Amino acid sequence: MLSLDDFLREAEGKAKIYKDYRLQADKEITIKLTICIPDMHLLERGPNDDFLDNNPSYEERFLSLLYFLLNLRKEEGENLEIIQLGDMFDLWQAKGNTNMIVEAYPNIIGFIENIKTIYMVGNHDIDLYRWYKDKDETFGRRWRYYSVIEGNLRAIYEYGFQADFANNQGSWTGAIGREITKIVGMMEFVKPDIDIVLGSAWDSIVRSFSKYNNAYTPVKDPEGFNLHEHLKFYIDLMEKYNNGVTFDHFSPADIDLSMAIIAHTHTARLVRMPKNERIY
Amino acid sequence: MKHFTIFFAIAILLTSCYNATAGSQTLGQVKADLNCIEYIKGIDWKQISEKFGTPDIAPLPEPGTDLKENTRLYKDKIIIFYTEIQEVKEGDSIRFHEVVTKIEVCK
Repeated sequence: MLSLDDFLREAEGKAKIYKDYRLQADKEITIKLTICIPDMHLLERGPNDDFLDNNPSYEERFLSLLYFLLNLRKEEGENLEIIQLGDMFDLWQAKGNTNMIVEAYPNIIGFIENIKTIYMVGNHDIDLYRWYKDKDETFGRRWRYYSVIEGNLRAIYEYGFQADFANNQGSWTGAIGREITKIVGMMEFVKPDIDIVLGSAWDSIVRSFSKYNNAYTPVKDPEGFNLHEHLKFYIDLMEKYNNGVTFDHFSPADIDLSMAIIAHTHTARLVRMPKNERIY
Repeated sequence: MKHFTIFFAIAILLTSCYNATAGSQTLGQVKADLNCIEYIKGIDWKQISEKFGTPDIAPLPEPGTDLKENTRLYKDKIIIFYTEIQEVKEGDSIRFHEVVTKIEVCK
């Protein structure tokens, strides 16, 4: 298996570290080099396309990474794992469905398919599930994926909206969040960065309220660790699974989770937290 | 009655004139005012969309296919089928079918 340093060396500048959050795990979490691609938000191009962000060089830069990953896949085979964590398509803001987004980005979608990507579903592309729910078609999108070592589940990969009060697609609050996002999407035709401005404003409101009121966020006493609105949700989830409290088909002997990898926040962060004599 | 007779006479005259005109034109004459593109297997979609613009309908893929495989529909386009008589073997005997050898779509 390639190490992260090997990967960066081979990438020759096509991939680099912007923020170094490296930590040593107590036990192995994966036996493969796992590359996660979060939140692409592909649209039919246009001013509200958050992938392109009115900068054509972003597409070329991403394509050069995908081309590198395609070659790496040929060299590494099954030792490489590439996971698109969800929101590959932004169906909340799309004029239609995936059809014309495929027309807008044939290179990117062709490469992503050819590098044998594992797809998660996000809140902005969950319609792929909903449109076809009666026909049992998900187009290879999964709700959740696990890395497994010697029969034990060690890491959870999922999009992360499940932990988000304003975007959980199983609740009424998520339905409101969706409508607000659509309105913001329309405003982007006037001011393309309005989503970033409003997102930062919302984060600052949530941050100040979270000290007093847990209704806005599941965070409780971050105990000096970085504030992260999804932290408690996933640590509790892993704790529950590790204790065998799950309706999934795994027995407690199969579960030894210690890491959850999610997208959705649009901000790379690594949060490490002890709970019940374990490090998550 | 007289009015009806005149109306039918004019109608028959006009339709026969139209048929005579359409039937007496060569393909080159018909295509003179059209903007056409020949369908070839593997043709780049960009060529189609540049010529005909955004499709009228871009449906979701059918279940069991792939998000990479799509269909796009244009309304009100002219399709030209080029046909040819070709020999076809039906059991022990030989028959002739008119088959399509080329398709052009025009607007």
